[in-house]
Amino acid sequence: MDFQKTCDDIVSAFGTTCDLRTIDLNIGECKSKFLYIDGYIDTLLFEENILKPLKNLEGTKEVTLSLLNETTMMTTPVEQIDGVEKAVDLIASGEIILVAENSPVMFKYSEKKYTQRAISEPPVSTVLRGPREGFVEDLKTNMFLIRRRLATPKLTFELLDAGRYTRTKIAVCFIDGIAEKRTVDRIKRQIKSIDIDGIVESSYIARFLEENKLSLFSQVGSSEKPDIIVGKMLEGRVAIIVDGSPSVLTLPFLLYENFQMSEDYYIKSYRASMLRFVRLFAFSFSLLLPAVYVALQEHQYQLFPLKFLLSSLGSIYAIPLSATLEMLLIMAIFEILNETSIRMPRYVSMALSVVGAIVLGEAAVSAGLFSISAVIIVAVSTVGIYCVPDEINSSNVLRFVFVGIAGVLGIVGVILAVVALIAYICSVNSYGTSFMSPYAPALLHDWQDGVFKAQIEEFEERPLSLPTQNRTRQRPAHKKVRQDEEDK
Amino acid sequence: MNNKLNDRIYPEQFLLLAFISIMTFKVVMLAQYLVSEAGNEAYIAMTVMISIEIMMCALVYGIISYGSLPRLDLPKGIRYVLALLLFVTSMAKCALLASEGVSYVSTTIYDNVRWSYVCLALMLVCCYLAYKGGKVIARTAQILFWLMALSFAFHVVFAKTDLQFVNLLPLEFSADIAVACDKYLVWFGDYSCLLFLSVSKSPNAKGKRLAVWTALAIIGTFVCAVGLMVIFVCVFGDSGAIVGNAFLNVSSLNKIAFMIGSMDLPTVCSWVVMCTIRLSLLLYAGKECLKIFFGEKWWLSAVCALTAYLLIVYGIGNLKTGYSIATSALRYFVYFTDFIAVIALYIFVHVKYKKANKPKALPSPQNPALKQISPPSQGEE
Repeated sequence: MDFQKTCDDIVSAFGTTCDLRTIDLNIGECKSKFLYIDGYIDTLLFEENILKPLKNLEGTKEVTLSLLNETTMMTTPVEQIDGVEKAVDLIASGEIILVAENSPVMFKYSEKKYTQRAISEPPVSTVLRGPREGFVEDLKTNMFLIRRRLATPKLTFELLDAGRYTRTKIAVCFIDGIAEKRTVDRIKRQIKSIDIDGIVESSYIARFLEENKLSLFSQVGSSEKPDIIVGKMLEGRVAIIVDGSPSVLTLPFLLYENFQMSEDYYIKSYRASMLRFVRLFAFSFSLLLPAVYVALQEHQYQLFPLKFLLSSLGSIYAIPLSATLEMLLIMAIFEILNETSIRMPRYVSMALSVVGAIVLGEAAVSAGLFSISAVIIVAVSTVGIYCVPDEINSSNVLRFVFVGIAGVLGIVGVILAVVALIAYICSVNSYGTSFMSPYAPALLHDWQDGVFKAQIEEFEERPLSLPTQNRTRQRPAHKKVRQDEEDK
Repeated sequence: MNNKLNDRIYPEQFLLLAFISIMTFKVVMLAQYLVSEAGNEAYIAMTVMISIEIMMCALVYGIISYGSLPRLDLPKGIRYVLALLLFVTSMAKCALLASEGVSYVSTTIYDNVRWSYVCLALMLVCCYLAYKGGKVIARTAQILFWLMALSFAFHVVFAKTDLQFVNLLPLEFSADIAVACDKYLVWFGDYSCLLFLSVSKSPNAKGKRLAVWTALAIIGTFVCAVGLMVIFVCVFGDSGAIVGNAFLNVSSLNKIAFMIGSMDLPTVCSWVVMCTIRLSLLLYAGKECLKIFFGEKWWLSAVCALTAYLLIVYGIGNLKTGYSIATSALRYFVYFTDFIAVIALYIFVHVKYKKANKPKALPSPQNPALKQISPPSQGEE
């Protein structure tokens, strides 16, 4: 290996970038050069543990792997590297490369250190009870957060990468002996087949892993909380951690997971069941309420109870718009306000909320543009949608579609649309299981963790809905202990 | 979508589909028609026909437990003849029954709507379900079952109980019962479309438990169909002959229906749902018949839906014409397909498979003979 040519090749591969650092030093009698990206390494440790010991070496005529490992104090052993291309890739991903004269290979040191966000509670999944740790953007930290909860050698992380430019590291994470091998292999195959210029967030990977690309509903689970991911892995799912993203993906994914929250497992089952029922009701209610209101007003006003009809007539008789147009407009304005308030800085979004509330709630109604009942219905519906935050995108779109159908075809149109939607969801599969499982097909065993949640001690087997190598989840030893205690 | 798996359902799904198939159009115009022919003994006609239907359903289950009709080992000629018979029957029934449903929807629920629009919307959704296949129809029915159950519970809880049981008497077992059974044959035999499904082992119930469920489903279907007819006769007596859309106007039989609106929303919702599933099954049967002739094509269900739509809008046109067609000699064709052909097929299949000593397959997901990737979980049939 020509020392000077190798160094020049590496440097020229990085072009004119200013953050490539090179350090020339003599290791004994050998000319050597360190190459690394500035800001990616722990400079203090680099100096103390690598540079100083190597500078002090005397009489060395050839730099070898064993010599480096003996001389420098590293927790990660030094590795040999062949080829300029690989060396360039490693430098780009934050490693330190040592090129030495008279040595046929290069050497890789790992001394990465960069600033990262501290582990904190994810803003999208706050809990009253339960762990408050959330994933961060660093892959290793996220792997550690899972490992800390699963102290078993069966926990496996398989590292892959995707993205021609980003070389994003992706860890496929599963419990060997629980997750089904075929599912793991299929996920790995899918990830390996990705040929894209860059992966900047886990949702990129999610889109590639979805079976039905045009689906309205997300077909890949995601969470920012390690306790949720571990719970899902214990049921036989596979997790996918993407470097640079705090959202960890899970597969297979079932629709009813949207109605399960981590807190359900930390509180009493009767309360959890009630909350799940509330979520399901809120979701269906918010999806259909605007459409049913439009259908009844446009086509089937005889379905209104008489008293309600009389009171609502007072508010709608002077509205210049048709019920459908009125509803669509209010929903569109809500969407605009929602989008703006999310993107704006907090102090601006608060002001926007006030303006929106006044404009919508007061001025538009007073001006006779919208009826108060339509505004209330959209408000209730919008609040309801946020009960199931993971399906906000689909439910927002569906609300518009349903309102449109209701305006044209009335209540029968809404019913037919619901039937078609359910049929559509029932036809979706997620990695070998039905998306609507355990309700279609009905798997009574899994209903214990469905809309109604049973006590944890009753979960003796893993869900039948999910493929797994090992069904047994809990052995009934605790029942015997309790029986013995009672006998005493 | 793997088409080999598209027709595969569980026994409980079969029971539900059979229930929907049998019940849906028994509660619309049939009650009025039976009373007009058999008077207060209409419920006996219903009892007789429902008993036969349930027995026939058992035969259909017996056939499809060896595999769906397209997968059965039948001589080519028999397969083609059966496919042709079933296609014509399915399309005719779909058009006749859909016209009844559309007529109810467009006259009762809307003030002013062209029934061709309602029909178009209904056929579009049915076409979509038929395209997706029997498995999706069964799953959809399983989800929507809860809506039907809630609606039923609503009526049971708030039912008016002042029934005039004296209307059921006197019992004379007159010849009118046989005439009624004969004349309205088209409204019975609602199970032949289920021949295009196949059954795999249930993950929920096996052996005795499944037997109990089956018994409950049979009793439930029988009680619902006959019970509703009994209620109809008790409430309206002989004047039931002028009461259209029988149980879809149940507001009169409910204590609080008027409090929640002047029309009975839960019944409308659940009945429209049942109607959609029933018609989807018929279109699915039509599509599967065409598949035997033309092979797997994505447009087959669209052809069936379009045929049914044209038949309804241009062939039938209104309820009166529909009634005339349904009670014409066409009914004997339907009778032949729904009763005679099914019995003959059962005997043929039973003898053939018994001779070949083939296991009563219930092609389980793990059956490698089906040359499909075995699904790893129970979530997938």
